[in-house]
Amino acid sequence: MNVERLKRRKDHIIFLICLFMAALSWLLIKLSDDYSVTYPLKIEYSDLPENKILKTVNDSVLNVSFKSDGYNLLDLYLYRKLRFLKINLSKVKMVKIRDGKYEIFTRNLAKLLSRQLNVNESDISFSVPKLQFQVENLYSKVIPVKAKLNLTFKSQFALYKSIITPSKVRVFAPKNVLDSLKYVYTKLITLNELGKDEKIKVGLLSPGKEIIRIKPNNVNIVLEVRKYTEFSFKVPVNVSKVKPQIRTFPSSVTVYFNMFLEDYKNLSPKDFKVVPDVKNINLGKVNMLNLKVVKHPANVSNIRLDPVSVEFIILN
Amino acid sequence: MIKVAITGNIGSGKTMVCRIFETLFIPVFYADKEAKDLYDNPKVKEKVIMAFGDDVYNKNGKINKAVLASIVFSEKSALKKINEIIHPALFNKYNNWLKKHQNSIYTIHEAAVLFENHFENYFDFIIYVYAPQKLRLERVIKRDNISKEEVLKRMNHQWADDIKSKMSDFVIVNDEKSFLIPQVLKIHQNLLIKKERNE
Repeated sequence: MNVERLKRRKDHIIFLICLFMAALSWLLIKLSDDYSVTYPLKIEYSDLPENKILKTVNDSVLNVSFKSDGYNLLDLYLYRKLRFLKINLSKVKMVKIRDGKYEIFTRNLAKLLSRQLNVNESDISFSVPKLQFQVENLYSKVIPVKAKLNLTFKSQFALYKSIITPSKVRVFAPKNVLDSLKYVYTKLITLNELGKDEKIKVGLLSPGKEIIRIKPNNVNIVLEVRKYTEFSFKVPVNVSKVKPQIRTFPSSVTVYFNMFLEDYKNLSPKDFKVVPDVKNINLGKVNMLNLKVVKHPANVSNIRLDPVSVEFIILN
Repeated sequence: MIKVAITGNIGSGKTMVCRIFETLFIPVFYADKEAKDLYDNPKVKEKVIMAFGDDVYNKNGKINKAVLASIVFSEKSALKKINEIIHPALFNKYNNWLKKHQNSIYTIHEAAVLFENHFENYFDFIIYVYAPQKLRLERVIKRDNISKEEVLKRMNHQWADDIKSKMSDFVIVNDEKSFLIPQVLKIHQNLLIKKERNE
């Protein structure tokens, strides 16, 4: 009984091996045959001259037909994923049709594709004889770079100076776009708890990646971080422009401000001007006048006055 | 001529009140400033050195305020001694100043310490400038750039506000809430009326 069953199982195995061998032989014979296939390839143009940009593309897909053996096609299908046709415009002859409109002959692409597809150049044919596209001329100008900063500092530290190198970059863009550009900004730089100088390499933000080119497209920034402190000056209240003539009490006030130690030695009370705010004020009807700082050096911050308002007498 | 004194504890804002009176063409004798100037007077200088030694003057011959203050505010007898040197000279100076301003409607003598030195009877009217202690403390620390303890030490040598207020004819409140100028103008009007009545 058992001997009978074992014999039948052996027959099955032999049959399956023979079937597999036959199928494999059939596949190998079929793969060595030549086949004609057509692939729709999406066109991607690259490496336009620096002063030109692609505006419109008339043919975005090109049907490519070619003959190849089964092995190559299987390889293409499994590994090389043929979907795009990348056309390097610096290496292909562009023929100008009229202003801004160019064409390239697809037969000139056969050599490029023959390498890519591993087939004979003569076995490749295209659905259209030429590809057309429109380019726009770009203009250029040198534009200053501004840093986009989001910084926080350790207590009593602040940004003293930021040095951008290069401070200006060349921007290529259509004329109307170029005219509207005043600055090129860096990508946002976020740094926290700064207490010392920092050096950073950062990319530049293109306001329109498709139509604008920036050279170079990154810059180096040195952030000089310095300690600041609070200083104060006694500054007279300037009433020379007030009519009728008045005298304030007190006649001088203390101006408090934050400043970097480096800059303080060049400063004097004369760099500040404090005046009473008399705009839309009827001097006969008020007892006090608010004060405002109308002149101060650019490198001071957090300015405050003590007192913030003063009493006054109208002088006859 | 009416002689008015303005007094008030340290940091009360006496000087600002005096500046307002000056705007009304009232001459003011700043006794504390005049007293400081007296330390340069050769006769006074000699007496001060005799009493306290050379150290109270700098190498350049100017009074060393810090050294003098430390002596005066730590010993009561030292304060008495310095007053005995300065006060006669100061009154001499004040009397000469009064002669120069005898045609004024009235004159003002500004001094921080008036009642403590029993000078109140020398004046016809006394104006007391009052400010809350907390406010005075803040003002002096800011103005003179000294420690809170140092200010409190100086304040302890002055009489309490309520005693001085009661002994004064007018009180000006300088608490940064009440307006100063209307208070000064009111006192000025009062003094003018009193002057007219006297005449």
